[in-house]
Amino acid sequence: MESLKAIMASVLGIKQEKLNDNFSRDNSEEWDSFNHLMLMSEIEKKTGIKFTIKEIESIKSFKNLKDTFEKKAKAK
Amino acid sequence: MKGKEFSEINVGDGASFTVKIDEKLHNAFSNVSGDKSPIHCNEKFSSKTKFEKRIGYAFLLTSFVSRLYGEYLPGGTSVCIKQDAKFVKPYFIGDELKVIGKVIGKMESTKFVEIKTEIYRNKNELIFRGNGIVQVILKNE
Repeated sequence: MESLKAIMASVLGIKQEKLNDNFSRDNSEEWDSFNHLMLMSEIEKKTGIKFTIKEIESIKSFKNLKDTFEKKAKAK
Repeated sequence: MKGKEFSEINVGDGASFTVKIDEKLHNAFSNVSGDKSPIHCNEKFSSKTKFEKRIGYAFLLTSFVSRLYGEYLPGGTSVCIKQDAKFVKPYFIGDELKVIGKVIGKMESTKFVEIKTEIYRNKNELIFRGNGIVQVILKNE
């Protein structure tokens, strides 16, 4: 399965090295609302993990995303 | 036709319609877009090009994709958020075009529906292709 970092880097058009826990929607020009939806869709497509609207709205940083994803992957 | 809810849409669903390109439609797009390029509007000029006549507007084709999404698939329940467009070959006034859409993916999280779009001229010549993504925006899902 493609890693979360690889999916995110591909959707945002950035290098994986740029992605750390501090990487957020507030400090990234690439992570705009359009790319946020594309990212959620791409994660679902590549991993089968589905997010709720509430989760999509609450994910603001790479750490948020990683934590939410791992929690859902464990519960699957 | 009633627009479909996200749960009613399935991968493999399809829709199509045909449209005749006449002078009226060609000129209407010319006026709406403001594109009066001689390759579209001047027969004498166009006779000297490699196509030897006026060619149809590429972006008129994308307006038929709008009709496909708005009227047929899903049919008025979504907004288009992304569209690829490859204008493979030209078309001409007098052509009959067939616009075809097929659902190739669904993403539950975002209510995205991915649709493969193609347009053929005179039954069998592919002139346009490009995948689009629409988002079903009904509140109750």
